Amino acid sequence: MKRSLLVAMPPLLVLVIVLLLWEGVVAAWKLPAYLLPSPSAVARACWEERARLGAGTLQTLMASVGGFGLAALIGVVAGSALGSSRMLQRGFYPLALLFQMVPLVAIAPLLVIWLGYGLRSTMASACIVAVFPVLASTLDGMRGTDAGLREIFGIYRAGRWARWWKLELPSAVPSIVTGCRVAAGLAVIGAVVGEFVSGYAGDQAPLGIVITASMREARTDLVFAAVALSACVGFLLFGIVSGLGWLLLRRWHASAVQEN
Amino acid sequence: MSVDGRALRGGLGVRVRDARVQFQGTDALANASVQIQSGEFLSIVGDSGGGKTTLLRAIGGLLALTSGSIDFTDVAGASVPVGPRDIGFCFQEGRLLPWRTVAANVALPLELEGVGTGERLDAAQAMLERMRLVGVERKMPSQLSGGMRMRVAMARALVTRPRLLLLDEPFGALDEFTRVALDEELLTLARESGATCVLVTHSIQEAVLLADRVLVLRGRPGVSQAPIPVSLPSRDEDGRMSLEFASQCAMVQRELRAGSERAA
Repeated sequence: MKRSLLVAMPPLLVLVIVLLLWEGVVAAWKLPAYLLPSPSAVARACWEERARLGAGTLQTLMASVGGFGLAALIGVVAGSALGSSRMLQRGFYPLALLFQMVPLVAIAPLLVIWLGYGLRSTMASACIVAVFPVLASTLDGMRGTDAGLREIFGIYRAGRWARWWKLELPSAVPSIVTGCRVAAGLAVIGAVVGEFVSGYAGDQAPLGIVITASMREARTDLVFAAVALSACVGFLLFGIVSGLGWLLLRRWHASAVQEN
Repeated sequence: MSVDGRALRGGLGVRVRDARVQFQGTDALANASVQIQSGEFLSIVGDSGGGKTTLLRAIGGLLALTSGSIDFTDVAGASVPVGPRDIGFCFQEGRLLPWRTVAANVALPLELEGVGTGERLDAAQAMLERMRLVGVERKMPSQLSGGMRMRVAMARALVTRPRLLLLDEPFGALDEFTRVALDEELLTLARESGATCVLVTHSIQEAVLLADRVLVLRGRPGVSQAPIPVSLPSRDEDGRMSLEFASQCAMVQRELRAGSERAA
């Protein structure tokens, strides 16, 4: 308890100091609210627009979680396929790398054309940015499977499926968990960027739409509120993924580190 | 076939003729010939880089000979084919799956062969009891000491009731006390199981203490010499202190040194 307090206190303290300075600067220079609203104004906006922001947060959360889940699934399956065949890897991995370079904002309009406005599109864009780290870490983890353990499976003439399910996939878990933690953060970014283009406006509008709409209305306080909430969605997803990863790894992580 | 019906089939004999192994044009093993009897305990010693492990791995089918032949015989001396269950391997690093419990690790060879859950866990449990590993079934490998991990690895190698047990410096990474204890345990297990055992070791004492015969691979790459038979009054604490033990070790030492003098 004392230790976790020791870990949590310094960043919280810094955050409080920054917010106080911010509040002070806005008050001292009498900055207009459309340029830089004070933290208290942002908090007020949060409260007054809680229905809209709550609905938006839920939409963005759904897009992020859905997109991340899809990315994790696709990433592990595709990474495993590439990891189990040198030919597949040579053929597809460079293309996957190239695909990764295409800016998401450029694809988003295509997603609207194919999937229409709304959750399906935003989920897809979250998935697209999150899939690569999972794929790459799965591939890396599988290739890093201990040669001695591979030999044991060879001695007992394990089939391809058994090799993957009982050896390569478990070996790759620490690496996959790391990839998923990166992907969790990216999924939220992908969702919000996707929402800018393909979000469904209305009373269920996601945070990305809240941000662009508030910008046009010069409601900078609301922009800040929505940005802060999307960061919270990111934290939440990252926290959940990290926690699940810890649960998965705690039983054998120490030995895996030792043997590497 | 059931797990229990196997103990009676006797150890495999191994006939190695003019075995030679090259890696990328370089000899790893120059020439090895030896006839290992069914149920025998053979130790292989030699200079590092002389091909001890290479020979062991070739016997186990983990690498192919460049020339020569290896075949297996039954108690009567007739050639027999071998399956994955017939040969057990024990490596120095133990090679346990870190994400599996001790019991699941020991049951792995049976699991990969498609033996049902109940049967394989029973077999693993029986093996663990025999290795005096009761109470650690549900522990993870990382929670065990090095000696315990090695015993789990031995239990895994023995769970299929192999007729040939191949040991590649199994206790090389352990401290002296643990090593002596495990040597004794291995000797008992080898006798009980009736399996043929081939042990690669860099310790002449260990080689002599455990083996019926010691095979010296002389030189780098190694050439096999005529196996040296070992006869000791006993193989316990007293045996290790006996004059015979010392003289047998000296004999193996001489056989090895004759090689290095010639090379120099």
